[in-house]
Amino acid sequence: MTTKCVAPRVGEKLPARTIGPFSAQDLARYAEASGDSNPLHLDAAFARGFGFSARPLHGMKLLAAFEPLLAEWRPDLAVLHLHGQFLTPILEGEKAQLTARIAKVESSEAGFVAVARLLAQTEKGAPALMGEARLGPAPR
Amino acid sequence: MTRPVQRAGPLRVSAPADVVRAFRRETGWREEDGPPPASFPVVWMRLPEIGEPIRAAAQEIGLPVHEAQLFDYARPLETGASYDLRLEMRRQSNPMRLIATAEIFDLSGAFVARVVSTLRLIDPATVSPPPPEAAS
Repeated sequence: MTTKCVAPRVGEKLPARTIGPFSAQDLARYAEASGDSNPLHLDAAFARGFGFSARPLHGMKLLAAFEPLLAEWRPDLAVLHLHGQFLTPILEGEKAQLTARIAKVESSEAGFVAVARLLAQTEKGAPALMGEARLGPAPR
Repeated sequence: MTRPVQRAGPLRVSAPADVVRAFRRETGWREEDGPPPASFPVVWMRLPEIGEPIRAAAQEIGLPVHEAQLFDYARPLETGASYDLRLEMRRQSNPMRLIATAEIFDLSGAFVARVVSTLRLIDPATVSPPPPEAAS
C-alpha cells in the first residue's frame, strides 16, 4: 500500500532557520567543496578592494542552504526548480535567517507543484536572497 | 575581445559520492549521505571549459559576482551517474553580465536539467572602498 503525497497548504510557513555566523574557515571549506575559489570570498584584502568590509559568503551557499530546510520540512517532496537572486551580502562573522512560505499550489501530471517563496535576511533584516522553489511529490 | 557568445560541450560531468557528500556537508545537510542536491551542478563550474571564459571575462572587464542562479529539473540527479553538459556563455552590457546556461542530459541523451548562472562583472575602478570604520 502506498501513501498519497499530500500537497502543502497555500500560506503554510516553513520553520525559520538561522545559519552562521560564518567564519573564514566556513567560506574556505565551501570553496573547496564547490570549486568556487573566487578570491572575493577568501581574501579579506581583495574583498575590501571591492567595497566589502569583510569577506562575503558565497551566494550559492546561501541558496543551497534552503534545500535541507525544505527536505527536513517535507521529505516526501522533491525540488523541481530552485531560483535565487542575491541581494545584500552576508559577511564573514554574520548570521542569516532563512524563511519560506507556500505561495501557490498548482495541479500537475505528478499530482501537484507547490511554489515556495524563499527569503534570506541579514542580521539587520535586509534581504540577502529572494527566490523560489517549486516542489513536487518525490519519486518513489 | 572575447566573443559575446561562447558555446562548449558536450562536456562529460559526474556526481561522485565523495563530491556529493562534501557539497551536502558544506551546504547544511544533517546527513552527508544522500542524493545530489538540486544546487549540486555549481560544482561543475570548476571545469576549465566553464571556468576559463569566466576568468577571461574577469581579466578583461572585472570581478565576476554571482547575481542570480536557477536550476530547473526534469528529473533529479543521481549519485555516481555521469551526464553530458552543453554550455552557452552570453555577455550582456549595461551593466556587464555573463550569463552561463548549461543544459544537462543523461548518457542516453534525455534532458535532465537546465542551470542558469548570472554573473555581474564589476570593474574595480568603479568601486568605492568601504568606510574606514567598516574596513577595520
